[in-house]
Amino acid sequence: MPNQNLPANVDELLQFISMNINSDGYEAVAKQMVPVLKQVPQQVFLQGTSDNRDPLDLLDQTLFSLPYTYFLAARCQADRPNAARLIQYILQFLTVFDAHQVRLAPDKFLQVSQGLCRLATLYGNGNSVIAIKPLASALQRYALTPNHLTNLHQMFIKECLLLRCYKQALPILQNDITEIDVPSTAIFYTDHLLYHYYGAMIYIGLKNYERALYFLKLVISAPANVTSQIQIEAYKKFTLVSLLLHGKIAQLPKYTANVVFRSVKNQCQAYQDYASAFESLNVKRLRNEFTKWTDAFRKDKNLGLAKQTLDAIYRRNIQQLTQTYLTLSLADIADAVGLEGRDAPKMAENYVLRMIESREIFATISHSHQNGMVSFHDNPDRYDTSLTITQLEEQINKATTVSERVIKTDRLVGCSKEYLQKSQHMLAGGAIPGGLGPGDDPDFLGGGGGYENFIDDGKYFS
Amino acid sequence: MDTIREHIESREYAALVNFCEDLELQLALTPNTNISPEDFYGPFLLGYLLEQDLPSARFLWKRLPDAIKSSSKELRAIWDVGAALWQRDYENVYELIGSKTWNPIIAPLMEQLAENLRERMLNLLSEAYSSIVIDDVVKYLGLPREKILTIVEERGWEADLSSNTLQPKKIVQEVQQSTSLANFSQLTDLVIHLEKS
Repeated sequence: MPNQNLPANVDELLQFISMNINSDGYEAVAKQMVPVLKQVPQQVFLQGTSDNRDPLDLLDQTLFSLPYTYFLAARCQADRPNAARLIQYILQFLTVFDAHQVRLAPDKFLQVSQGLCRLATLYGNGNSVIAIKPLASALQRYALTPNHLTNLHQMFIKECLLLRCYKQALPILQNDITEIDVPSTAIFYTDHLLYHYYGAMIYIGLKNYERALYFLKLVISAPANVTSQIQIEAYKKFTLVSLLLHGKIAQLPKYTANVVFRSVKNQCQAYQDYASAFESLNVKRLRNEFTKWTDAFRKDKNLGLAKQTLDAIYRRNIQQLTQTYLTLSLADIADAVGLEGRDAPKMAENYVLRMIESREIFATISHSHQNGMVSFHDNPDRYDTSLTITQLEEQINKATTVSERVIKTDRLVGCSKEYLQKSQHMLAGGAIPGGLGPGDDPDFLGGGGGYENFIDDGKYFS
Repeated sequence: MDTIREHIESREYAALVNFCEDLELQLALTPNTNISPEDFYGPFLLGYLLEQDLPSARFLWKRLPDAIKSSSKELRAIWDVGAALWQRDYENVYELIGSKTWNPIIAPLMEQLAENLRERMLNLLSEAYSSIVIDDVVKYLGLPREKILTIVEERGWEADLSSNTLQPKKIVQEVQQSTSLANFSQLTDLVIHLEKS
């Protein structure tokens, strides 16, 4: 589109828009309209028409979603927006926009969403939660599938954190991200890191530590040539959440980048020292380490999480006792786990009771002996109910979906130009690349190896 | 406001919370002077507590505008109950609930909260104790001794007044065992999947 054809004012622009929008399909729209909209000076989008009307009122929000996004984005960037009025337009737009068109201008759509959040703080009567629910539903329509990551994801989750609307982030967070489409979402590498980092913070806030740990693992193990600060921060939280869940630092996947391993070793000393103190299950040592590193924890805003580990160590210790003893008096438990003071047996009893409720241990307390006795049991669940079958089936279903997905991706990669070129190149050079052809990676598909070995090992069938 | 009342009357607390979450957004957008913050945020906060979603209750309290927090004594009192639950200070929960006359819209919710907590504790105690000192049960249930003796008798617990202890009766849970054609179809699907790969 040559420059002289650019609309010079908003009247011409509107005319151009209405002429082009009805052409065939989204591709045509993308080809004709996007280049023009990109070049039109910003102030044109701010003008009223010559007969003094607002273009926002003239354009249909669904039919003209693409240009509408440009108009709204420009208004959001303006110096003194009319907050109350603009919010209404945006909220209306977010419920009716045509997702196909909006995906043609992902960066503008992001500006509109950010604009909404900013306006909400300006306008919100001291309570700026206006933006959360509309954004959540807009995001669900905007993403190609629930498993796609978009440029809106991390800003939405961050907004949820800032406004303390943790629960409202769950409908988005519960979908695992498996798809990425750069052109229609304009995402960057850091979008992936930040989204999962913020997501982990939400799950920590809601005390869903398993999911938090999973999200943090995704951040840390993201492919990297240099370590991102986000990964460092994720590792710090990862350490503490691991301690809460497993009593030791959980293993990182072996495909974690080497640079990341090295950086966390250098930069997270406090956390590694603290973790080894926890692993020793020595309460005094842990408290000493805690005092030593309190400032570091506070600076990283991890103090709350670290404090919870001080509580978790008693529970971890009690759990250890169940491995060794059948019965134990409350006083002995208090002594063994490092509780001190006159109330120690009572405190031990409280811990035991709490752990029975959360099914961390199986035990019965008795007050009929002096000072109270606890007898530990095995898990009474014999795993012979239909509940177990249902759970098993659920897991199998999940595994099936994942394995199908892996096969699909594997084929896709195997057919991709980059991959073929690279393997061609390597073959010509005589060296065989690590993973080899599609489907040959034994770690991934679990194919070949084990099964054949089993057959070869004739003795099972003799 | 009527919807809130209806949900409270029909004891649909999940629906109450959902409704309040939406209303919170609407109120931020178009303030409605007919709805006093206490009448709205009170049931909202308690809804979370009744749903045993303590983290969400805590975040709601944190995001409440300061003006509302400082002007309403009742909201503060409701959160005190929430905080006691958070700290597992159950004795204090009953005391806080009992020590105040609550707003008519709040009162039934508070009653229910205490009732739920008692039920939860009775179940837990019968699972966790083979014998327990009566004074401890008094704390966990927030009820006078005589009342407790009648309650636990109904549940088949045995009282030993000479040693001042109760012997809780374990609750045996009926497990439903069922197999259906669906199990077979699941199994076939699985075999097909394994054959394929």
